[in-house]
Amino acid sequence: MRSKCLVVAGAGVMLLASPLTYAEENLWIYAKGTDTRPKGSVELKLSDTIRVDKDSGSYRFHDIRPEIEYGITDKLTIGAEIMIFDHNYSGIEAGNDPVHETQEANGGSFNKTQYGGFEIALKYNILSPYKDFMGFSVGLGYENRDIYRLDGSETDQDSFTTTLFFQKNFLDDTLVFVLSPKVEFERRKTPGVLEEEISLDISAGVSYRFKPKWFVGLEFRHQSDYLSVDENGEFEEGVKPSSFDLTDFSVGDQFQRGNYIGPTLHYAEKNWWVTTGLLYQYNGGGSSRAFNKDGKNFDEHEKFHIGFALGYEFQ
Amino acid sequence: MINRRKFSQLLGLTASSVLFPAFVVNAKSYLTSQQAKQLLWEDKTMTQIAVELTQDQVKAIQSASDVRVRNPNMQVWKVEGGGWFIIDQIIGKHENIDMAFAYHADGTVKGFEILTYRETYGFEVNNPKWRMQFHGKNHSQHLKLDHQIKNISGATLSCRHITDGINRLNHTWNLVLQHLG
Repeated sequence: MRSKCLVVAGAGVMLLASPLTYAEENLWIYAKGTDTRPKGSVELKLSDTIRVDKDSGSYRFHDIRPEIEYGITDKLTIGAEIMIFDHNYSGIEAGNDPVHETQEANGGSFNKTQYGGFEIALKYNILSPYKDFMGFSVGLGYENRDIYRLDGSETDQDSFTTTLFFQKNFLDDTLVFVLSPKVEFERRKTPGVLEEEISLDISAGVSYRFKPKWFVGLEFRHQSDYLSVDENGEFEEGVKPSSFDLTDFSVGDQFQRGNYIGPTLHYAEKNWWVTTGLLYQYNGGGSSRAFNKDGKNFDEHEKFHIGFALGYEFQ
Repeated sequence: MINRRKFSQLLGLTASSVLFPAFVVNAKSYLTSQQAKQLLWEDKTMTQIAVELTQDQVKAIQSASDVRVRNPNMQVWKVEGGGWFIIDQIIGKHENIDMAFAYHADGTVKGFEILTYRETYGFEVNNPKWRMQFHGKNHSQHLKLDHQIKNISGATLSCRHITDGINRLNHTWNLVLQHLG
C-alpha cells in the first residue's frame, strides 16, 4: 500500500515539477467533454480511482490507469490504457459476495495488486462547443480484462463501449456543462459460466474556472447493469437475460445500480494538469440478488469514490 | 500475478523514464508592448489615456458585442495623427493571452499582435494570413468563426476568443473611445 502510494505520489511530483496541457484534459473524475486532441499531439495520463468502503469492514480498491492519447487528426483521438487493480479489504460481512468469499469469510482479508486488462478507444468530434451551438462527440472502445474487478479472480472478458459526449459552454467558456452517457456490452467467461451484461454509465459535470488555471466542479454519476448469467446453458430462473447478439438484442432485468455526486477540483499549467474529486453514493439498489442496504448498493458500488488524475502533454 | 514491490518499482521507473526528459518553459512571451507599438505604429508618437469604463459603458459594450467585459480598466494610447493602440487580455483555456491591438481613426482594425501566449496549442492564430482577416473590420458587423473569420482546426478556442475580443474592442471604440477628446 505504502509503496503504491509512493509511486503515484512520485509520478505526481514529477508531473508537477515538470513544466510540459491542453485539449482532452479531465475536468472531472468520470465525466468527459467533447474535446479531442490536436493532430499529432500526445498526452500521458495517470489516474487512480479509489473505491472506499462497503457497508461493513474496511474496503479500499485502487483502479490505476496509465493512459496514452494521440491526435490522429484534429477531430479523431485514439487512446490506450492499461488497468492495474489493487485490492485491500477485510471484515466484509457475509452476503456481500464475491468480496466476502474472497477475503476467506469472517476474519480474513484480501490484499493483491494485479494487471487487470487494457482498453483502446476512439473519440470523434462532430460539433465544437467553441463555435457551434453545442459540442458533440462520439466514442467507441474495446476493453479486454483478465481479472474480475470485484474479487480479483481470473476471467476472460471482452467489452465494447459506445459513448456520446455533449458539452455546452457559457461565460466565455469558463462555465462548462457536460453529459456523457456510455453503454457497455460485456461478455465474461469463466469455466462453465457465461455472463452477458449491458452496463449503463451516465456521467454529468459542471465546471467553473474561478481564476486562471483553477476549475471547481460538481459531478454526477449513474452506473447500472443488466446482467444475465448462463451456467452450463441455463439462465437463472425468473431473470430476464440480456442479449446483444446481432440477431437477438434485448435488455434484461437490472441487477444493480448506484448514483453518486460530489465535488471536483482541477488545476492546469501549460503542459500538465491535475484533477481530484470525491463522489458519494447517495442512492443505489437493484434486484433481490444484489447486495442492497439502506437504499444503497454495496456489491458493485461503494460509499465513496476518490479520484486523482494527472496529465502530461508532449509537444 | 505481479509482485507488488516489483510492480511499484516498474511503474516508478517507467514514469520516471517517460516524464523526466521533456521540459519546456511555461508561458512564452513573443513581444514586449514597445515592440508591438513599433510593429503596429512604427515611430508614431502616442499618448496614454486613462480609460475606466463606467458600469453603463460596460453594459452597453456587452450588449452590443455579446462578449463579457472582464476588466473595465483599459490600457489605451491615442496615436498622433489619428488611431489607437490598446493592450488587452483575451481569455484562454487556462490563462489569459496578452495582446496588442491597433485601430485606425475610423474605428477599423489596423492589426494586432500576440505578446504572451500561455497555452500549449493554438498559437497558429499568430499566422499573418489568419490575422489579416480582421483588417478593416469594425463594429458594423458581428464577426463569427466560419462566417467572416475562418477557423483554424486544432486552435478553435483561441480563434473564437480572439474573434470575441475584437468584437468587444470594436464596440468599445464605437461606444467609448471615439468620443474621447
